[in-house]
Amino acid sequence: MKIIECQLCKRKCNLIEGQRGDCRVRLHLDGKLQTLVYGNPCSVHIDPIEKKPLFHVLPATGAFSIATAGCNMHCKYCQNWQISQRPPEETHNYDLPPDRVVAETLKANCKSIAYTYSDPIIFYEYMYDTAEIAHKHNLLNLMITAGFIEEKPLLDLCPHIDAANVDLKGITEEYYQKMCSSELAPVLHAIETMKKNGVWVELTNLIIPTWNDSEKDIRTLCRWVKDTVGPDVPLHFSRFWPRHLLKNLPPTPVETMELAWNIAKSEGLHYAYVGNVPGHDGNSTFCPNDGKLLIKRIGYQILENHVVDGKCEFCKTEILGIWS
Amino acid sequence: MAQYMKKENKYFILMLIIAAALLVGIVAENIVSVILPKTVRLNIDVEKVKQKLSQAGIVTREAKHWKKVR
Repeated sequence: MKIIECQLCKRKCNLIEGQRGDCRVRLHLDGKLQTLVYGNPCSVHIDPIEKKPLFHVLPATGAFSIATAGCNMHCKYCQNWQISQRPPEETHNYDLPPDRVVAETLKANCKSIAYTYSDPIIFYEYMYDTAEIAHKHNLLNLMITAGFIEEKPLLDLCPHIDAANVDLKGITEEYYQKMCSSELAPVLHAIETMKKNGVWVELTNLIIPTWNDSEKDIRTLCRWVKDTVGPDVPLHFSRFWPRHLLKNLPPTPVETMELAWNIAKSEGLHYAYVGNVPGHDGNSTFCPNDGKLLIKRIGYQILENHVVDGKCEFCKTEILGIWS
Repeated sequence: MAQYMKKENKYFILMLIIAAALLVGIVAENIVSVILPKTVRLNIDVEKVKQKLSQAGIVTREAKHWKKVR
């Protein structure tokens, strides 16, 4: 009986002929590993780039966003579970090969392509080929991912990815196992790898009541970010809303979001944000040097922007990001 | 000796022997399942898999980052 091993993520699914991997979209067929979703996204939208969330990349521009069915994690709170926890036979898929993705992006006047919604790791080949063509047309490639990927495929991909938002869902292995049926260590390694290989990284931590909302967890996470990837990596705290398998929990209290935001600032992170609480000061960017308001946002809307040529308009401190 | 025992006692001893045998069998099965490796026999009808993919309009393409194990 022939067996092949997928090496895209830590699961290292060993598959006999006709068997599918855990992600539902990679299959052993005719002695080879096949992807079932190349060129066939089930979600295609134009989103504000701030929705990813990416706050330090081409503000107030549209990102042409695509995703296929499948995912290599199984998070209990997934907001995209209708596509991430389904095989491609159960989703409505478009025929959109890589060159057409780029053509549609240009037609829509978007400056970037976002590989998002489910997890682009599982449509790796589609993302990779599209990203190569996108660069030839001066488009940015944005990867919105949970980061559960092995080092080799990630290193191959990094030259084609300009920015990434990585879900740093929690800071304990126990959380990753119980909440996501996954592992923390490969995600931490992936974040470091992306940073070291020139990808602009922003992180998102979804705070879920009773699961990862303790002061200890939040502080540990902030310290890891500061010590490992640096205080200039933006950290977005996102407010949880009940969905999928966690409809029994309440939304995250705004007070908890405030606490997380304050902890991040007290731990020395320069860019901490609060998401899913429109109108909160944490939607906006402040200069880490003089504290002045740089980019005023309400939700995804930008009302003011005082970042000029990548610097604070007032004190000329460099504000890291991809501003043009 | 058995011919001098009451009928009820004979049945009681028989039930005891059956119960003991069951207990030994259960314990032995548990020990074997711990010692021997677990094997899962998968029987996949590959032609059926191909047929279902075709019906769903799914086109396969060789993936990157995999290796043959055996």
